[in-house]
Amino acid sequence: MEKTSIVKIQNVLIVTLQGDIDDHSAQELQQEILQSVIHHQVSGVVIEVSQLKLVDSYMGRILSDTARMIRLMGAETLLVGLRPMVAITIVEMGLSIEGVKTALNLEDALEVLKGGRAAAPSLGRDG
Amino acid sequence: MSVKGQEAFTLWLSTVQKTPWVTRGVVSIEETERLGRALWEGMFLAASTGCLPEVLQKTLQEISVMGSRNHLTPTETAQFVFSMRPYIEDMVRGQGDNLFMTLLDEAGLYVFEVYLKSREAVILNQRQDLLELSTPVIRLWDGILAVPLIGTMDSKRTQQIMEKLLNMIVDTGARVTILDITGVPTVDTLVANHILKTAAAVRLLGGSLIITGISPAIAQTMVYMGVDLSSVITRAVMQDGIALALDMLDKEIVLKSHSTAG
Repeated sequence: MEKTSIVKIQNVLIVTLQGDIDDHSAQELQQEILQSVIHHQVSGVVIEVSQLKLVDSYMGRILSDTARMIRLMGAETLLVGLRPMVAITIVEMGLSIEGVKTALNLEDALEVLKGGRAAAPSLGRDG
Repeated sequence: MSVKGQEAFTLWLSTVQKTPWVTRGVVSIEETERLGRALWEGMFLAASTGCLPEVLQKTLQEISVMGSRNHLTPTETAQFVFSMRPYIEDMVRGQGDNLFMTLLDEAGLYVFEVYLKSREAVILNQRQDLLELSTPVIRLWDGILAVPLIGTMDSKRTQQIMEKLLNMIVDTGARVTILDITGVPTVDTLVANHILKTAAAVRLLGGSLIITGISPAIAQTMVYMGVDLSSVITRAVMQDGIALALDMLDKEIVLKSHSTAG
C-alpha cells in the first residue's frame, strides 16, 4: 500500500496515513497494522492522520475497530494529528470513534506510551 | 432647462431647504442644489426613457446613504424625492404626467430600499464585530488555553468558537483548555449539547476540556433537565479550573520564598 507507511521505533509502531483512503484499502490497512503488531511485538501503535482531509463513518468505524483489535493483542492505540475541520465534522455528524485515545502530536503520543503522563480521556461510552 | 423649469426647480429647492435635510445640517445649501439638480435632471431623463437610468440610481443611492448615515428617518430621507411632486405636477400637466408620477414613486421606493439595505449592512457588520469580540481564545499558560464565553450561545457562534479553539489547539499544542461559562446567562439543552460537542472535538484532537463557571442556578437546571455532563470535567470557578489544568500538566505554582528556601 503506497498510501501508508508503517515504521517501528523502539517498541512503538508509527502508522502514517498519507492521503484519503477508500473503503477497500482501509480494510487492507487494518490487516497490515495487525500483522505488524504481531511481527514487531510492539506495545503501542500511533496512527498519524494529519494528512487525512476526510473521515467518514466507515473510516471512523475501521479506526475504532482496529484500536479494539490492537487492545486484544495487548498493545495500546493512539490517534494523532486529527485536523480541526475533520474533528468538527465527526462531532457534527455524531460519529463516534470509541475506545481510541488521542494525542496532539507524535511527541506527545510517544510520551503517553512511555507512561510519562495520562492521555486525553478515551472517547465514547466504553472508554 | 426651460425658464419655466428653472422657476419650478428653484421653488422646489427652497422647499427642500426647509426640510430636516438642511435645517439639521445634513447637507449644505450648495450640496442640496447639486443633489437637487442631479435628481431633477435625472427624473426628466427617466421620463424620456421610461425607466430609472443609472445616473439617477446613483444620485438616489447617494441620497439614501446620506440620510441613513445622518440618522434621518426613512420618511425624512424619501421626502427629498417626494417633495418634488407638486412642482413637477405643475410643469408636466397634460403631457405624460402619469408616467412621470409612476417614475417618481419608483424613485422614492428605490430610496427606501437602499436606505434599508445600508442599515442592514451596518447591522451585519456589527454582528460580525460582536462575534469576534466576544470569543477570544487566551493562551493562559504554556499548554493551557482559556475561552471565556460571554453572552448567549447559538449554533453559529458555537461553530465559530469551536473552529477558532481547535485551530488554536493545533497551532499552540495546548493540551488543556478551560471553557468558562460564567458569562453565559442561561444554559438550556441546546447550549449543553453545543458544549458537549466542543468537548468531544477537543478530545478528538488529543486535548482535554475543563468547564468552569457553573453557577448553582446552572447546575440546578442541568440536573433538572437531565443533561448528562458526566463525560466532561467541570469545576465551579475559573480558579479551580486553572489549578486542575496545572495539575494535569504536572505543574504547580510555588511561593517565591519556598523555592528559594528549598
